[in-house]
Amino acid sequence: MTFFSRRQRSSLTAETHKPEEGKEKDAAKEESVLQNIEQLGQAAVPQQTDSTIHSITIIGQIEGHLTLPPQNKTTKYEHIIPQLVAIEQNPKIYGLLVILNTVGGDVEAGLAIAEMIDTLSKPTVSLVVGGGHSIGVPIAVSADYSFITETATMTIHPIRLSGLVVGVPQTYEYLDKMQDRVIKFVTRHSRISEEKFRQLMFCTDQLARDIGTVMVGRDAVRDGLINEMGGLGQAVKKLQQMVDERYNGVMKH
Amino acid sequence: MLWTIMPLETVMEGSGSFQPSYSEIPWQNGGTLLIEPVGPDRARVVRLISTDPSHYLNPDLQPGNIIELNKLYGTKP
Repeated sequence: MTFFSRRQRSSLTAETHKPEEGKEKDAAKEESVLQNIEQLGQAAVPQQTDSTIHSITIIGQIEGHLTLPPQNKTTKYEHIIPQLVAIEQNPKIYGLLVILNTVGGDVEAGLAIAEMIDTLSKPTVSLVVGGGHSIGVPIAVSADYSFITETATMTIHPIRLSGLVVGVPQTYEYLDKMQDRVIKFVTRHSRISEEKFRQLMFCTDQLARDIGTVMVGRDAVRDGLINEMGGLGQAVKKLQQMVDERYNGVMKH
Repeated sequence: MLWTIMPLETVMEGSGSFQPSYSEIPWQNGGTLLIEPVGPDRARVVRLISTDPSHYLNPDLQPGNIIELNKLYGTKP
């Protein structure tokens, strides 16, 4: 369905390129900040010209091939992936900070985001605040360097289909294969061993309603899943350092 | 396949009655904007479809942003 005729559409270009008066511009800027707070829950989205470091937040459910009902707060992979492409390609961007507070979500979408962050050629730092559970774990370890705050938690538990009766052995094998993809990715991108990760995943005396383990900040660092404990300041500082090393101080702060 | 600590019933609650109505409008340089109309002249950006990576860093086109259609197009549709 198209709303507008070709003539109306062409007037769009004329309208948007008209230079605005200073006062009007200020008012418009203020309005857009308010609108951003209302719509996105944050004051500003990354500006192309202002910062040499960009930040992506992975929040709520990671939404994959199925659109989730509106009560879910979601991170959509089709929004994140082109932004990662833009960050990789834009010569004015030198580094990426990924902030996670997620309850997990779609395995394929999560792995896709993790693989994209992993293969990004610019320095990347991840920071887990609140929680980085389930499929959030591979995303957290996909960055070049990872941080977790002291109170943040990460739940490692097996992949399964809720309420599903495993009727044929193939179903089990399929789940096992999905799980192997995640385990391989995590162990390849962090210091944790496959043996240890499996042990945490199938631990039976930690969670009330499930098998698995909840790791609080310090535990995640001790077991080698996350590089260091720290918050926003440490994460940005580390990223800045990595950028300086990579680009030999070419970057303007 | 979902791998989450949230109970599946909570995640999927209301999925039967969730029926968004989206429209596609053409955008610059051959791109397309997927929008959800929220008023006579207003729409919420749902998704940008474009092959130009820099479009995805434009703050006006971030998902969830409300755009004024008549402002964009000069006249009312």
